[in-house]
Amino acid sequence: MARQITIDPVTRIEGHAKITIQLDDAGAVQDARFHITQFRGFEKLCEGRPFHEMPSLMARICGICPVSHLVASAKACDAIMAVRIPKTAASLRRVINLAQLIQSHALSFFYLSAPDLLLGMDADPAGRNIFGLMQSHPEIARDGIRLRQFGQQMIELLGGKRIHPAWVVPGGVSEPLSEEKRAAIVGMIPDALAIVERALPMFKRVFERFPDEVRTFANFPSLFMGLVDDQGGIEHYDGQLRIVDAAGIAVERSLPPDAYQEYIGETVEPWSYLKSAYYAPRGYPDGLYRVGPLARLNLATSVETPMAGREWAEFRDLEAGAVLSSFHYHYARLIEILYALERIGQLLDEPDILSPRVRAHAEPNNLEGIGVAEAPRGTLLHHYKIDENGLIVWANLIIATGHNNLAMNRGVLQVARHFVDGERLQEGMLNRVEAVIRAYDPCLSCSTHALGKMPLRIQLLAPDGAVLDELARGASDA
Amino acid sequence: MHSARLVIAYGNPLRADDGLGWVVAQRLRESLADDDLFGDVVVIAEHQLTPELAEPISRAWIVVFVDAREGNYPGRIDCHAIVPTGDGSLAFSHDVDPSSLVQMARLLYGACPTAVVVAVVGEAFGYGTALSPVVQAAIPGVIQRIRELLVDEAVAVSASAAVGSCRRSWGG
Repeated sequence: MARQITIDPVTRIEGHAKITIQLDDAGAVQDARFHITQFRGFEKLCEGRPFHEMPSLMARICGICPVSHLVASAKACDAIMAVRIPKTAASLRRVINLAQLIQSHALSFFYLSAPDLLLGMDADPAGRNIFGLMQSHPEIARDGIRLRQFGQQMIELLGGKRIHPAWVVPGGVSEPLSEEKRAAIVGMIPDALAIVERALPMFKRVFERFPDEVRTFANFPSLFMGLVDDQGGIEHYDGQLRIVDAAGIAVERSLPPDAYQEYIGETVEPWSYLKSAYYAPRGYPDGLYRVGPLARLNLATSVETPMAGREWAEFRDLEAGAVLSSFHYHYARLIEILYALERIGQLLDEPDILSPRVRAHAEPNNLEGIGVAEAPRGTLLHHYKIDENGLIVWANLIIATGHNNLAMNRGVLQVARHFVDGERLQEGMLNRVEAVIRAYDPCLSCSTHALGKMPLRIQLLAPDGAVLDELARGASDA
Repeated sequence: MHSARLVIAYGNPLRADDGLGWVVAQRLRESLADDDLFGDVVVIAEHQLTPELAEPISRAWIVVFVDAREGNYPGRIDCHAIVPTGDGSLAFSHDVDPSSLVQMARLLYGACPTAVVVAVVGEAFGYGTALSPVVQAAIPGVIQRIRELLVDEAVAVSASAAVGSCRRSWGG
C-alpha cells in the first residue's frame, strides 16, 4: 500500500516549508519533495515604485541577509542609471557584503547546525538546540554568538544599523567611511579570526564522525555556479559567473551575469511556491546546479588570502574533482568566514578607502538593469525593468534557494532513501531528512528561525487518508 | 565589572503599538541625559531579542525589558520580575523571550542580573508607525517606572528575590 510521510514544518531553517516522502507498496521510499509553503510576492508588489527605492524595498525581503539584497538591488539600479560607481564605493560595498556573510554563516553554522554536529543527529530534540549546545559546549556557543556579533557590529558601523541599513544606494554608498569606524572594524578582526582558528580544526574532527551523512547528504554529481574574479579567484561582489561540473571542469568559464536569461532557465512546480532554476542548455531537470559556499569553493581556482587559501586547498583535497557532498556546506561556511575576515582587513587597508567620493548620481539612462552578487547562500540576481518615468514595471529575482531548489529536492530523496524506514518512524531519521535541507541553509523568507522545537508533525498516511503512524513535537510538547 | 544598568526596549516600529519600545527608548535617553544618577545606564532599542544580547546582559546588574503586549485594558502598565528558566522551547535564533535570554547569560557567561519586564497593554498592532492615544498616554508612566527600577534599591532587591540564586552566582 503506497503511503506518504509529511514533515511539516521543517525546523531550524529560515522560513516555512514541509517535506513529503512517498513510500511504495513495500514501504520503500519512492519519491521525496521539499515544499515551500509561504508566498512573499515581492516581484509583484514593487511594480509602480520608483526604481531608486528598490534597494530599501528589497532589503525588506530578509531580516538575516538584507545587505545581500541591498547590494544586488543597488547594482541593478547602477545599471539602470548606467553609472560606474567610484572604486571606494565598490570596496565599501564589498566590506558590508562580507560582513553580512560572516554574521549569516555564523548563525547557520553555530546556532542552527552545530547542535546536530556536536550533540548528534539522534540526540533528544528537546535538547538538540542552541540551549543544549550552551550546556554541553558553552565555549563554542559563546564563540558562535561572538562571531555573529562581529558581523552585525561591522554592518552597524558601516550602515548605521544592523538590520535593514540603507547605506548601500544606487550609485554607491550614502556616506564615506570615517577613520574612527575603519579602526573599530579593523580592531575586531583579530578576535574574530581567533574564533575561526579555534573552530576549524575542531570541527574538521567532528565532520569525521559523520561518514554516513557525508556519503548520503545530497552527495551526487552536479553542476556548480557562482561568481569568480577576472583570474578565476573567489568572488562575492562582482566578476563573471562560472559553471563547473562534478569533475571540477569549467562548463562555462566566464558568463556575463547580465545575460543570465541565455543560460539560466526557471520553472515552477504546482507543489511549491519556490521557483526552480536550471542550467538552460541541459534543460529541466538535468540542468540542476548548486550555488553557495560549497559551489564557490568548488568554482574558484584560487583564494587569495593566506589563511583561507590554505584551508581552501585542504578542502579541495577532499576529492579529486569538485567536493560533491552537501554535508560539506558546513565546512565551506567556516572557510568562507575566514576568507571574509581576511578580505575585509585587506579592503580596509586600501589607501583610498576613506575617500569622500563614494556615490555617482544620474537619472535613468537604461530601461532595464541587472544586478548580481554572491549572498551567503549563493548567487543572488535582481533584474528590473522601468518605464520612461523611472517606475518599476517588471522585476525578477532569483535567490540562492531557488538556484538550489532542484538539488535540495534530490538531496531529500537521497537521504530519505538511505535513512527512512517506512515501517517505523524515528526521530533521528526525521532529523536527518531535515538536516540535509539545513546544510543548504535555505532562506525562505528569513522571518522565522526555529531552534529545534517548532511544531513538527510527521505522519504515515494510507491512500484513504488514514493515519498509520505519527510523530509530533512542538511547543505544546515542551 | 557588573556596574551597568541596561534597558532593552523592543518591538516592531512598523506595527503601531508594537513600536512602543522604540519610542520609550528615545524618551528615556532624553530623560536620563545629563543626570549623573544614570550615568552608567545603557538604553538599547531592538526589533527583536536575539542571543547576542546575552553578553551585555551578563555584564549588567539590572536589566529592564520594555515591550508592548496584547491583553485587556489598553494602556495598562505591567511590571514583573523575570526568572531565568528559558529552555529554548520557544526560542528562535533571532527572536528570544526575556526569560531565555537571561538564562543564556547565566549559561554562557555565568552571570545574570536582576531582570524586570515593563510591559504596556497595546490597543492596535496593525500596520502603522503611530502609537494609539491610550498607549501614547502611558509613556510618561513607563518612563517613571523604569527610573524607579533603575535607582530604587528596594525595588531591585525585591525583583531579584525571584532570581536570587542566579544573581549570587556572579558575585561581582
